[in-house]
Amino acid sequence: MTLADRLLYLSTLIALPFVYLYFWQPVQNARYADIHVEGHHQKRISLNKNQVLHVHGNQGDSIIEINNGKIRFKDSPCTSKRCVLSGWLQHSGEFAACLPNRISIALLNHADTNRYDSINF
Amino acid sequence: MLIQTVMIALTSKLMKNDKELQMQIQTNRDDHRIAWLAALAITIHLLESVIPSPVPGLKPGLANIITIIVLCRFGISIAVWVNLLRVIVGSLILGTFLSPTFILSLSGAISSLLVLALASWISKHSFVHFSAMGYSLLAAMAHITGQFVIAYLLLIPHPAMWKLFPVLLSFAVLLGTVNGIISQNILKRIL
Repeated sequence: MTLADRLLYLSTLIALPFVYLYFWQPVQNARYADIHVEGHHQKRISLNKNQVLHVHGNQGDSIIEINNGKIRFKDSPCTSKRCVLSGWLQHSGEFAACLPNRISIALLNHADTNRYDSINF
Repeated sequence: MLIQTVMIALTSKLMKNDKELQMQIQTNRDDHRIAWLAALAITIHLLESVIPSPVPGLKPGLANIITIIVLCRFGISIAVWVNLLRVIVGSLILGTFLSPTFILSLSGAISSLLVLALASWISKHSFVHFSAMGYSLLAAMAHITGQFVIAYLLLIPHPAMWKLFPVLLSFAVLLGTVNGIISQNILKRIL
């Protein structure tokens, strides 16, 4: 090992914890939500504005509530109410769906489109 | 060299002249070196591909030992040839050519070669001298970083993917060190 190697190792080992700190910092709050109905993009809404939306789905109207940067299914015509039990969502990347009514909410941080959530081959 | 070879092959195929068909491809010592070393790297690459990995994207990268040794002994241009041939031929044999696996493999190889080129240039032109250990560590870290950037831009544009980056970077440091030690020992024995 040369001196340059030693210095390189030293700086790498010092920098590594900071890499963890940087990439594992708490998740950011989302600023937008994408609402999909029957697999098609319905609308993109900002989470800044408090409002209650009625989204027409397969079985009826789902009620989606936005309050202080958070979003939730307030009610849905499904029987299991899993979407309602998902509770408030506020972090980017979070997702809630009412499968019987075929409505989903996906939270985003930026306005640019996330075309894929993930691809596997 | 490769383009030249293909061009000569094509022209000799196209021309009906017997003399042109008889034309031999001129190869020099470096071409033979590249072919032998690339064959060695491809073999290691193939053997390594059967080792199961606990985390996606985690590979020992033993074929990079060849790259490091070639860089230390024969210089960066031969290392570039050997490494790129290894990625392309390895993917052709494994059947992943032009698939996302290949794109990730190639982006990792290109980024590590860029960093190695820079490091060897610095070693030549300044008082900072890296050895096989330093090269291996730099290559491993550049490899994983390049792969993450390309994976984020092309395959998984989701911020949550970067959560895996520190973990894989730590493994890159570990495996880069192991590969560096192996390269150093091999270099000691062949010199």
